[in-house]
Amino acid sequence: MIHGLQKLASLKITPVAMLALGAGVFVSYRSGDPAAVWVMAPLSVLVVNLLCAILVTPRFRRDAGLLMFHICLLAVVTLAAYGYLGQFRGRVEVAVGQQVEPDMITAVARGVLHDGDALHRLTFVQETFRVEYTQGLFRTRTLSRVRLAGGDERAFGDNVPLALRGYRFYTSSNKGYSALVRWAGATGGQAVGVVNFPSYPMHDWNQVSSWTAPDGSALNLALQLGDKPPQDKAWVLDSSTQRHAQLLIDIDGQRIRLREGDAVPVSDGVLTFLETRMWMGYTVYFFPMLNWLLAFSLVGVLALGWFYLRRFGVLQKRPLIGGRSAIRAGRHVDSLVR
Amino acid sequence: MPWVVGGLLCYAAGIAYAVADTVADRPGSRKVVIATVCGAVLLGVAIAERWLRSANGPFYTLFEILLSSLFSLGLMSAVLYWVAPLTRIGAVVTLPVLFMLGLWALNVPSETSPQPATYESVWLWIHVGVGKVFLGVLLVAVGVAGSLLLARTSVLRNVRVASQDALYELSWRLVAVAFVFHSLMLIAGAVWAQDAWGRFWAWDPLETWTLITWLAIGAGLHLRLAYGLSRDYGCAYILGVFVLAFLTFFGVPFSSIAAHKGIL
Ligand code: HEM
Repeated sequence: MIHGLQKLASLKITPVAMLALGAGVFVSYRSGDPAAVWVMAPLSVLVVNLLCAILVTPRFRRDAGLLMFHICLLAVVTLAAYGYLGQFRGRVEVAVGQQVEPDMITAVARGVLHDGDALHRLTFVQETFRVEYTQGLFRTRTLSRVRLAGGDERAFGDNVPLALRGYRFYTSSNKGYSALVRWAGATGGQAVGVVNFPSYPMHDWNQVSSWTAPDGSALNLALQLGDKPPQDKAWVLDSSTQRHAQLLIDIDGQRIRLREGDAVPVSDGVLTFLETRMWMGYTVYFFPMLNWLLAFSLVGVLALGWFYLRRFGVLQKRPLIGGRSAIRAGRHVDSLVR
Repeated sequence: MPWVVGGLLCYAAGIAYAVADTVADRPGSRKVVIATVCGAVLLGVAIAERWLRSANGPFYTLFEILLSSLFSLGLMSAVLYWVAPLTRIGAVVTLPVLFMLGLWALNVPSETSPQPATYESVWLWIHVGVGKVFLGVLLVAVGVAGSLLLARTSVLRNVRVASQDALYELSWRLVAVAFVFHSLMLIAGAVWAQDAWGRFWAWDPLETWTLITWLAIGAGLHLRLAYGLSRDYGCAYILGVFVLAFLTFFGVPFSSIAAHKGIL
């Protein structure tokens, strides 16, 4: 048993597997699949090799720093794997005044161990936001305000996410205008809808969208905003500034123009354009034990630093590498680095 | 710009002294250190002057990154030349690399550009700071390893007589120190990416190549332990790792439009 472990713990395997992992990372980067077999295979070899080495290699017994570094390496790989299985990444667009509902969040990646119910406990109401631009439409600061379920307000943006029950909401470059519409059915029934138009000012020239009314009919809509975002000076996109845009709607091959408050008969009811608002796009991120991952990485590197400080004699007050005397001593300097 | 040219001229003087030492079969002299310090100081002034003018740190455009690297790599080399005089032998390799970096800087557009708001983070400073220490230490390691390879071609005669073993050991020690700083750079970068882009790791080109470099250095340290790499192979390996790190630092970020750019 011990003999088997010793074979698996061989230091001869380690660099070969590390080079294979480096090559595997390159190949999988080219193929776009980070969990590909050429990454997983050498990584598994390294994990087994390291686990066995930690158990049986006497070298690790002699140096706590080196041992700690390698244990931390193992912990980081384990935590990263666990994190990927439990992670959630998604995005959501929320109009000003709108409340985030779980079914508004689109999943981009979801680990098999991710608890879907947790999403149902995430909610907030979007209040205003502002995005600053320098000359030439270069986006700089973003600040978003939201109201939480308990009534607390939060302001965040750029490097500071909104943290809710371990999930983080980050403001994104994605934001734009929405039309608030009310549909009233001919036979009763009403619904209010928020129609988000493409990201602004990125798609300033293409503000078209569609909305499905409660009776199932699809309506093609366009938003006409009037003035263009200025290129020649600094500018602020502020969700509290009213744009009074016009809504264009295609009905029976005809384009109808609506101002705020105008109504138009549609297939089986009446559509009223209530007002223009703005929406903010967030990316949503959840990765279990993220703080532990950071803690183990840091402890590992510090342990390695400690190991080298001792090994190179810095903590034993011996010269590190050379020293003034080494130059004077001319060529016979071997002993200084031994 | 005059400060940049002045800094480069100092590095050129350092090269001249280093070559003179080599030809005269002397260990690296203090003049090399002084020229390198002067070059770094002048480049530091160039950065400060530009910073005051544009209110942006040297983090964003290719010119800014080359400038800050010229300064910090020069400074790191000078510090190591000072505390560990054995490393001066590598100045014949290290300083020409810096000088070429300088010529490159003089040939790229030097306009300032606004920075994305995500650059307003202390983690950017930590990430870039430890990254520069990493590359600086590795550059000096390459100098030592490179001079050992030159000794094979009898360009550097003094190394032939002196302690090649000691220098070889020294170059790997520097690689080990560089590895610690590379690891710190990876961690600080991941923390910054988490804040700035909402994920700590996304296999983007820069992250992928940095991980490959990190693995290559780790593999090198273990290759030496497990297979006792001969001196020539070991020095060549260090050179290879440096090329990888250099391309990752100065090639990848500027060949992909995705990295670090603001979007409307
Ligand atoms: C990505 C994974 C790894 C990294 C980054 C890493 C890093 C390191 C570093 C930096 C050292 C110090 C080297 C030196 O003395 O300069 C070291 C030593 C060592 N590593 Fe690893 N290591 C890794 C994986 C492993 C694995 C899988 C094993 C399993 C055998 C292992 C076994 C050892 C041993 C036994 C030493 C001590 C050698 C000695 O000084 O005698 N390492 N490692």
